[in-house]
Amino acid sequence: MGRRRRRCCALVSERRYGSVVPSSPQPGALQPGGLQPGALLAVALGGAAGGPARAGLSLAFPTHPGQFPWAILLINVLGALLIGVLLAIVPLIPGGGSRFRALTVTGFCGGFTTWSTFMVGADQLVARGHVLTALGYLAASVVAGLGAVTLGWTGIQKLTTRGAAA
Amino acid sequence: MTATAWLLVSLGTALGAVARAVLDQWLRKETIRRYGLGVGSRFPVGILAINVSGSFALGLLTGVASHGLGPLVIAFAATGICGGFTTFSTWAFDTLILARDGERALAVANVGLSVGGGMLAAAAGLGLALL
Repeated sequence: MGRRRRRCCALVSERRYGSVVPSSPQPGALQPGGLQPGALLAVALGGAAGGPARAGLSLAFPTHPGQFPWAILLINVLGALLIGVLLAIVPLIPGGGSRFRALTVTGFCGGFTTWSTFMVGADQLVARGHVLTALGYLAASVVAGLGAVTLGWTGIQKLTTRGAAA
Repeated sequence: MTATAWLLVSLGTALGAVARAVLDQWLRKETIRRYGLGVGSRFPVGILAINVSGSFALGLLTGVASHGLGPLVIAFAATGICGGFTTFSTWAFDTLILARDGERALAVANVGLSVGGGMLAAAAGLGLALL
């Protein structure tokens, strides 16, 4: 009885979730068939490129202990701008663009940007007594990151709706 | 950085990214299966759990590295796996979509829980390595 009810609810959830997806095009939104091996390969390839890009930028702008971590801020803000642009383009791709999204959004942007280095860097600033620098780093990352994703997403949407109207 | 280190960053990030994709998908499905289509299905629980646990792991690795860890281990596990597993871009986009959908409280919660939880988890990892 319990199992039957759970299965029934799961089916209802899946059916209802289908209508939820289009209004919330989250990067990790559920796909009907789950993650296919081809999609995982695309995620791996994107990640394989994103990691070295992040490491390269970190090396180009090295942060010494106690300094403001400009490189990680730049990486995360650039990645946020890029994900906004990409996710505004994805729905325009014939066939839904799920592979393109797996490669560029989940793989590249996800692998390029980092939350863990951001958090450890902020904690290390606090541990070394640079509390104000840490607070500035947190605030700048949140504000610039959210600003960049909004700019990328709304910018492309404005361009494409103007293009469709013309 | 040596060619081997670059290769290990690339490989580690690829593994971290695949782990993130699989875990995020699973956590979203589980949340809906267990709790139905409530707040849990609109809130990016998967990415929050990934970013907080990844911050703990990188804190621990960074702490252990101060006792001496090879540069190749750091390239693979810290820069690669932890860096690729966690994500800033998806967090930013999820927050934007919550705000756009009028879920302001959830958008603010996603900022607060990700930053607060991440800072605490990374500090716990760094502290644990000192023991």
